[in-house]
Amino acid sequence: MLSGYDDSYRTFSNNVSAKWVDGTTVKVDPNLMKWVEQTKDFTDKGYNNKTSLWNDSWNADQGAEGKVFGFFYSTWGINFTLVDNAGKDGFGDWAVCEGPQPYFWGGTWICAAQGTDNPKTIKDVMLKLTCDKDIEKKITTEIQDYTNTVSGMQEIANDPKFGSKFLGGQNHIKLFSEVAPQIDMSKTSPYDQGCNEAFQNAFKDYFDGNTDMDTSKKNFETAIIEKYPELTSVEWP
Amino acid sequence: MNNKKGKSISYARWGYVFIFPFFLIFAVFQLYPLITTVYYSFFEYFRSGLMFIGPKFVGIDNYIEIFKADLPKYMSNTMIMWIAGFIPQIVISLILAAWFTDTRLKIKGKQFFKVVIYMPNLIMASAFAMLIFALFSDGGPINGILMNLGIIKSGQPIRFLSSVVGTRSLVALMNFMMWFGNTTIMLMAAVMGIDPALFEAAELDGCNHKQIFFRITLPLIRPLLVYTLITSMIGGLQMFDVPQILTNGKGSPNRTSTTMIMYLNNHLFSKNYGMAGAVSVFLFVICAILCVVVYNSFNSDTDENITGKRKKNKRGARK
Repeated sequence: MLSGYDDSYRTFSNNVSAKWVDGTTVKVDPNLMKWVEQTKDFTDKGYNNKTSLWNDSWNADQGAEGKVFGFFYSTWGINFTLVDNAGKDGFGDWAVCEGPQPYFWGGTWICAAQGTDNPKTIKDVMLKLTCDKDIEKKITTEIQDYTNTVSGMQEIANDPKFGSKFLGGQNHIKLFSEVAPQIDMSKTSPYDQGCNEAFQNAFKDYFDGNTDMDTSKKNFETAIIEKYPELTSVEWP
Repeated sequence: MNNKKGKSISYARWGYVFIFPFFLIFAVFQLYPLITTVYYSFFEYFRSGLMFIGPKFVGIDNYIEIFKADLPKYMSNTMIMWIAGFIPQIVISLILAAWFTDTRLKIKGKQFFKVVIYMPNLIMASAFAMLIFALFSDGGPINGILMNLGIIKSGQPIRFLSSVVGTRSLVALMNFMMWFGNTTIMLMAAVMGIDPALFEAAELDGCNHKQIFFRITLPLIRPLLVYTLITSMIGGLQMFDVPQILTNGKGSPNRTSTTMIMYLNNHLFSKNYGMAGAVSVFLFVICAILCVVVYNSFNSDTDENITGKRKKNKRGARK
């Protein structure tokens, strides 16, 4: 069904009811415990290959030889990762569909160094790279990435000639344009990355059978306090 | 007479000039950080986002915290992995040192073997850990070989890095491979320092290999064995790069391969200078105690001259 434990994680973690941290208390969302429950169930029944994101086995599962049903990916996943992992043999064999829940994964940003000598040039470079419709459209048509222009993406989505050869001619931009507005970014916080990583890491041991539920919970608490000394407690649902 | 005296004074002055850079660098890069580390270990001082919290004096709270947390567990992890690597290391090294120095065995290509066994030490620990990580991963070559040989069923790889024993033994194996060559060469030097007349006399008296080894070689290289033990223990306490890279910095599974320095690194990663300072000071105290032990064990040796030389040679043998 899935390659590893973390594949489905973001569909759960991006649809939580509150932010990770409230004051100095970490609040674990019930939705995340659903992920734990489902993944444990999948693992026990052999519905996954016990891989971790980005490791060799995970990459191999995306190749032509892989026996995994599907992968959860963000927009960049197709052109940035999947194409290489699928290789020549898997080229044209893939297609993309709407997932069970909208979610986001990753983000890229450009920062100017403080005290730069050329603030004007840098502003220009930044605007061109992130907000210029023509450049954005060019990026999309050339490397298939989904870019930061609503109207531009709409034009490509409605272009019957556009399609990804890798996806067998499918117009993935059309799908993305339909789904993107549903993504809820209101629950993001500065603690997301650290908490998510610690959570996945702590429960990997649980899925592997090395720890029981309580030990994994405790390991998560330990890791959080190491990462964020200002946090004082963890509340479980 | 006067002339001579003047010269010697000017030499002394130049001597100070020449050793000055060392003390300058030592003071800036070692002494000052050391003092601030100890100082901040009594403070609550960390970074939250872009803001610094503290420094606020909290007395020995940090120390209580690290002991209340898992430091004893990480210490036992470190010790288990060190012992698991050290025992085969010292046994194999002793055997090899005895063989290589035995004049009756006449091993061919001795020099070649010495180079080969020292080789793993030349590879960067992190590169070595990456290599082992790739070799022993779930879909890696070791599992592939085992499957092709029919030892394990295909599709059911041994998940080395997901089991406590697997991960710890891999760390121990790496430490063993990296250091046994070094220890062999050290012990060979010790064995060759023994008066050959003793071996000849023993042979004349009809001793066999085993008797020579246990009655002559072993007792005479005892000071160096103690030295090896202590330096290896200090090196072991500072074990970091191998488990860090092998487990991707997580000390997985279930934190059983988290060493003390990895714990220290976790605190440093979150810019928690107070707690990291407390862990460092604790490690420093342990290492200092071990240094005192090694120093005393050398001073008890009667032959000051030889020990002085050995000490010099062996310094820096461990990182």
